[in-house]
Amino acid sequence: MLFKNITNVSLQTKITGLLLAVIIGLILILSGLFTYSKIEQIISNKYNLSMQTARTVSLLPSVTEGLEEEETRQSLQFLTDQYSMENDADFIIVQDKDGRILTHPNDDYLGRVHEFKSGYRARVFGGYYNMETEEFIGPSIVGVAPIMSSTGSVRGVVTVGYLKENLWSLIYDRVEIILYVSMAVIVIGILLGYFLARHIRKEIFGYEPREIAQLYCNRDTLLSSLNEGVIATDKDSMVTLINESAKKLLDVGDSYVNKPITSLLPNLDYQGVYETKEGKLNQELFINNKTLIVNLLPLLANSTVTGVVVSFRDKTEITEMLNMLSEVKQYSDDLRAQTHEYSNQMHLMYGLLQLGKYDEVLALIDREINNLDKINRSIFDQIEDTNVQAILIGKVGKASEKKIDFDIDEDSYLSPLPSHIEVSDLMIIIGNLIDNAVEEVSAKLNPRVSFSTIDLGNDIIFEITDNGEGIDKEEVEKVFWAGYSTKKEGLEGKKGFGLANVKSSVEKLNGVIEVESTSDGTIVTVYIPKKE
Amino acid sequence: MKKYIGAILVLLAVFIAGCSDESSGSAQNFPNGNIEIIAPATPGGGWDATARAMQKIFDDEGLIEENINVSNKPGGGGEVGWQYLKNQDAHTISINSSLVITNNLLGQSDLTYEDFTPLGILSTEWISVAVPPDSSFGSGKEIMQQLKKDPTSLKIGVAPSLGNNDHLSFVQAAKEFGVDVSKLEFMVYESGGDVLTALLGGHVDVASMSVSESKEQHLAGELEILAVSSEERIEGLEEVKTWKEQGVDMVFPHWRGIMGPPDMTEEEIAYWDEKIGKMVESEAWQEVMKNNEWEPYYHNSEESKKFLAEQTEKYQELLQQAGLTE
Repeated sequence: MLFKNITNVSLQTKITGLLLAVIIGLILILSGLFTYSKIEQIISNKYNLSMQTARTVSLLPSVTEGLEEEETRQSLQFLTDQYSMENDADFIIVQDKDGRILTHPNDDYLGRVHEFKSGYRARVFGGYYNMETEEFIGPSIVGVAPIMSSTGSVRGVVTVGYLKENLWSLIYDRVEIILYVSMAVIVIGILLGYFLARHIRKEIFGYEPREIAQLYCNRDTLLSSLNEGVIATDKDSMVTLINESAKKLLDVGDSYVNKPITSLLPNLDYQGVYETKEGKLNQELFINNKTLIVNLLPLLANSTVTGVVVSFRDKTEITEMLNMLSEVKQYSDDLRAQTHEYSNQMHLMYGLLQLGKYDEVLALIDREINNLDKINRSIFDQIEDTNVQAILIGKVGKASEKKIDFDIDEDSYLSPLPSHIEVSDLMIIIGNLIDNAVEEVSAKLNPRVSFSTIDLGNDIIFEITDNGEGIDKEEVEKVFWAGYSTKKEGLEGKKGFGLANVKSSVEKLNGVIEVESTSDGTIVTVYIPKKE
Repeated sequence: MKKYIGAILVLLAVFIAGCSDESSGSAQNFPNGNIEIIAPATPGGGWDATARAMQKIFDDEGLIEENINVSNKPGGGGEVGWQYLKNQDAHTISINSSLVITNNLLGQSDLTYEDFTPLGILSTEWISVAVPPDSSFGSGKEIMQQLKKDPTSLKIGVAPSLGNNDHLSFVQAAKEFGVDVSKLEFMVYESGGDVLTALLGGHVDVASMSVSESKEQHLAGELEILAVSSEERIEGLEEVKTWKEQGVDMVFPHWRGIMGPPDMTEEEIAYWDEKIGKMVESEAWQEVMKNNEWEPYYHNSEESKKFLAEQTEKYQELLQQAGLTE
């Protein structure tokens, strides 16, 4: 819980806190080390000083004399007081060989016999040494030296001491300055942390890091959900971001990040966008067998261009939609043509009846019924798929209006189609092929188009035959390319896409198209597997 | 970055190779110059005698072919000679004794045995307590009883300074017996001869000195040895009881040894172990022992190191006030 709270604080607090922790940590370690070495230094200094002073005092001739004679003891005290002052020693105690105290900072102790404790090694063995003891006055560091006679026997002992409590205050004096400096550094640290955090916040528009992360996630989801391709660049036209749709449309991977955008989408006026700071919309670009409609928009920060956002969509997709629309429109036209034909015949019959030419009326109706029967029979009896029926009825009407002999092969047979073959695919495949055939023969004498279908094997086969002038061998391949057309004129935008759409639909269904063309006509055969 | 690490590694390799070349070279050729034995005292004492005996035997027995010199470097209770030794190579060795330990404990020196390479302990002699022939004391125990009653009642003579083995041995005996040693009255003389004179002249009541210094006078009846610090009675002084026999539980050897400069290689130590080990087995060495009233006390380098550590502990304890620990 607590940890969660810690990670949840603002960036400002985090940076300041971290900086502060580092600075305080460092200061603690450094001043700790410094203090430690100071203490070491002071203590070793006191060790040396007390030893030296003890040695010096023990060698003074007046001290040796003072041990012997009562009268000189006063001057002995005076002498040691002087040495205490000079060396900042807290006490200098001189004892004779029996332990009698001859000098002491406190006069009350003078003359008392004090058994040797810290002075033992000096008294018995003539040793010189340092030690820590509480024997005199208080806890202290002492240097002990024996007072030797000229022959070398011990006459007394000098103990020079520094009280530990005074050492602590001495150490504190030395360390105090470090405390002040440390404090100053910590204050500077707080200020630095504050300014650093503020600077960073300003760079990131005042967002907290987790808010930025949230935005980033949102952006990613948003971009990948778009059908449009989106590419962003930095100010040097290097790609910084590319979304899924863009990768799919351009057929590239992530490796395009940090490469110039001109290698992805060449021939666009990026420079213009940088210079004018204005977007360029609806530009067409043919790339990867696709026509793209591209929008260029500048990325503005504080009214300077920091990059370009390029969004684009496949124009082919738009065209397909247009095609579909025109297809539907065509059907309603076809139906209108049929109605018109029908009313024409009604008028004819009405005229003949008025004139009383009943035999001719009968003959007309007979012929029409025969004709209709024939077509209906093949359409409704042999072709069981209702969608194909509907398409064929429409095309029959259209052909009859154009006085083209549209014939459905009597041997055609088609069961209902499997569900994965959609109406739109059928409309594109059958509709376009028949339309093309009708178009092709419309200028001929005795124009004829025939349609045949069969689904006996594993494949569904559609065959559209016309008696047009055929297609040159070299052209056969090209007719299925987008944008190719043999038509001189046609619907705006529709031109040249019909057969390309047929091809892509057939390929989508894993089918095959075969074109057989002679100067007497063209046979287009489409094979579509029944299984998906 | 990688380049730098590579360069540093190469440098390091060259450096290490250079180092090992040097050390292995010198080890193979050791010794390759004159040998120097330091006696850190004036000619005439025990240290000097030991050094010269070693020189003679190494030479006579053909143990060492190189030139061997004895240098006397007196001063500071061995300090001068040992300070000199500290900066020499393995061709220089020095005589030592318990002073290498006690000098440091008594604040006379910063050196300890750990600043050197112990190569061996050679010999020991024992310490006697002597009184004039007309003394009222009949045994060491009687002296201690008197001192226990009144520590200041007797004057004790030692030489040449407090803290040497003669002094420490007496203090330890007194301490074992329960005497308040901080009140003892030691008279310090310049030499063993002076102590003898003082004893005979009645200036001191008791003297502590090595057996080699007192044995002759004892046998001549000029003084009487009442106790010796050895484990067992000494050859030629069979009538004198040891401290142990008199109920004072202590043995106090006055040993002498040999040590080399610090940081000697294993090969150099092995060389000296072999040479010294052979020397102490020679008949000439036995002769030297006998003539000087010394006892063989050989420890090799490994054992000496242990021995010196034990001795240091023992002396530390001895210098401590009874019942107090530092």
